[in-house]
Amino acid sequence: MPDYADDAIYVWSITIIGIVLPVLMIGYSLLRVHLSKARLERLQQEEDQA
Amino acid sequence: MLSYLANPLRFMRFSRLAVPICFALGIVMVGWSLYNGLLVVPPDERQGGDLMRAMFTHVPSAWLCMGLYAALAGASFVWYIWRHELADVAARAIAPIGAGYTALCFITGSIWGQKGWGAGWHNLILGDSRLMSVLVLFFLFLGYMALRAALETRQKAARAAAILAMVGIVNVPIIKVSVDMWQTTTIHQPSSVISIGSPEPREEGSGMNPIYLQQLLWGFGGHTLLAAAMVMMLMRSEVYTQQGDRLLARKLEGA
Amino acid sequence: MTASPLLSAFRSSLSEAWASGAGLLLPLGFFAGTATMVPFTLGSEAELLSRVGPGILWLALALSSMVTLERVFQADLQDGALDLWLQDSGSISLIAAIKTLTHWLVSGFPLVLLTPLIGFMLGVPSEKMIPAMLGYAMGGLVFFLWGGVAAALSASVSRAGLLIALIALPLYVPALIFGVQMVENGLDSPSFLFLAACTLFALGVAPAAMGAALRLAAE
Repeated sequence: MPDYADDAIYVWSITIIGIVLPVLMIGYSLLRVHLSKARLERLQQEEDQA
Repeated sequence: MLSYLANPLRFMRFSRLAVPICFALGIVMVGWSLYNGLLVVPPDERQGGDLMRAMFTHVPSAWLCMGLYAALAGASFVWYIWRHELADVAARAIAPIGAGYTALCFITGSIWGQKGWGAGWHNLILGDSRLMSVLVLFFLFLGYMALRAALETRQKAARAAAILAMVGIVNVPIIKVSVDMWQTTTIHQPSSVISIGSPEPREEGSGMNPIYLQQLLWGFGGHTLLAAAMVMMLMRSEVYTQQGDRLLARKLEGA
Repeated sequence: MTASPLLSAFRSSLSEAWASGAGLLLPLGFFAGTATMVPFTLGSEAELLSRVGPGILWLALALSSMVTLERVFQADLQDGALDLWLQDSGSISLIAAIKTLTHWLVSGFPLVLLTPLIGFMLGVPSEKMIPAMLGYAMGGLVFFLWGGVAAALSASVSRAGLLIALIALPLYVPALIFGVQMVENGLDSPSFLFLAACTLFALGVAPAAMGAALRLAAE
C-alpha cells in the first residue's frame, strides 16, 4: 500500500465512495430487474394454469 | 442502429448480450484506471501532490453526469417527436442513474474541496462553481423523477417529464454561465488556491500530462459503460413490468 | 384569433389573484412582513442588514411565486375552463403566459413598489434602489414564468406545492444570481444585460412549454 501521508484519508475515502456508490446502483438495477422479471413469470404461470 | 433497437423485442435480445459485456469491460476499465491512478502514476505537485489521485474518481463522474443529463433530454426529445416507446423507457431509466452519478460527483468533490481549499462549509461546498452546477443538476434529476412519480398515468407522466427534460436542457448552459459568474464576482477567492485542488485539467495552463489524462479517459470510458449497463438493466426491468401489466390487463378484461 | 379570450383570461386571473386575498394588501403585507422578520433573524447590525436584506427579499420573491402559482392552472383544469380555451382559441400558450403574468403583476410586482420603503428600513444605500427595483421586476418575471411551467406540468397533481418548488428552483438559479449581482454592481454591469437576457429567454420559451404542458393536462 502506498503512503499518501496527509492526503491518505481523502484519497481513499473518495476512491471508496467512487466504488461503493456505483456498486449500490448496480445492486439496485439488479434488484429491479429481478423483481419485475419474477412478477412477469408469476403472471405468465398463472395465465398458463388458467 | 437506434431505430433498429426501437423495437422492444430486439432491444431485449440486444441487451441480454450487451449488459454483461458492458459490465465486464466497465469494471476492467475502471479498475485499470484506479490501479494506475492510485499506485502507478507519480504524484503531481502542481495539483496538490497525492491528493490529485482523487481526480480519477471525481472527474469521470463529473463528465458523466453532464452526459447523462444530455442523454435524458435526448431520449425525451426522441420520444416527444417520434413517440418511440423505448425512448421513454430509456429516459425513465437514465434519471436515477444520472442522479446517482451527480451525487457521486458532488460528494467526492466536496471531500476533495475540504482538503484542497481548506476546511469549513464555505469552502467545502461553495468553493468551486462547477461543484455548484453539479448540485443544481442533481436537483434537475430529482425534479424529473418527482414529476414522473406524481403523475398517475404512464402516458401523461412520460409527456410531462419529456417537456421538463427539454426545458431543463435549454437552461443548463445558462445555469452554468450564471454559476460561473457568481463565483468570480461574489466569492473573492484567489484563483491559485482553487487550482491547487482543481478537479479538471483545463485549469492547467500547459494542459495535462498525458499519463494522467489517459487514466481519466479509462475511468470515464469505464464508468460510461457501467452506467450504460445500469440504464439497460433498468430498461429491461421496465419492459418486463410493462409486459406484466399487459398480461394483467388482459386477464382483468377476460374475467 | 381575437383578443377576447386573452382579455377574459386576464380578467379572470386578475379577479382570481385579487379575490384570493385582500387585493394588493396581501402581497404587500407578505413582503413587508418578510422584511420585518429579517432583523429578528439576523440581528440589528446596520451593516449586515443592508448587505443581507435585499438577498432575503429575493428569497421572499421566489417563495411568493411558488406559493401563488400552486393552484393557478388547477382551478382551470377542474372547472373546465382549460377545455374551453383549447376549443376556442389556437394559442393556449398565450393564455397561459397572460395568466402567469397577471399573477406576477398582483403577487410579484408589489415588491418593486415596496422596495424603496423596505430598502430604507434595512438601510440599503440609495444608489442601489433603482437596480434593486429593476432587478426584482425582471427577476420576478423569470420566477413567475418558470414557476408557471412547473405549475402547468403538475396541474393534474393534487398537492403540488413541494413538487412545483423542486421543479422550479433549479430554473430560478440564473435569474437569482444575475439579479443579486446586478443590485451589487449597478446597472452598467454585465449582470444587468444577463438578467435581461434571462427574462427575454423565459418570455420566449416558458409560454410554449406551458402550452404543451396544459394541452397534456387537459387530456
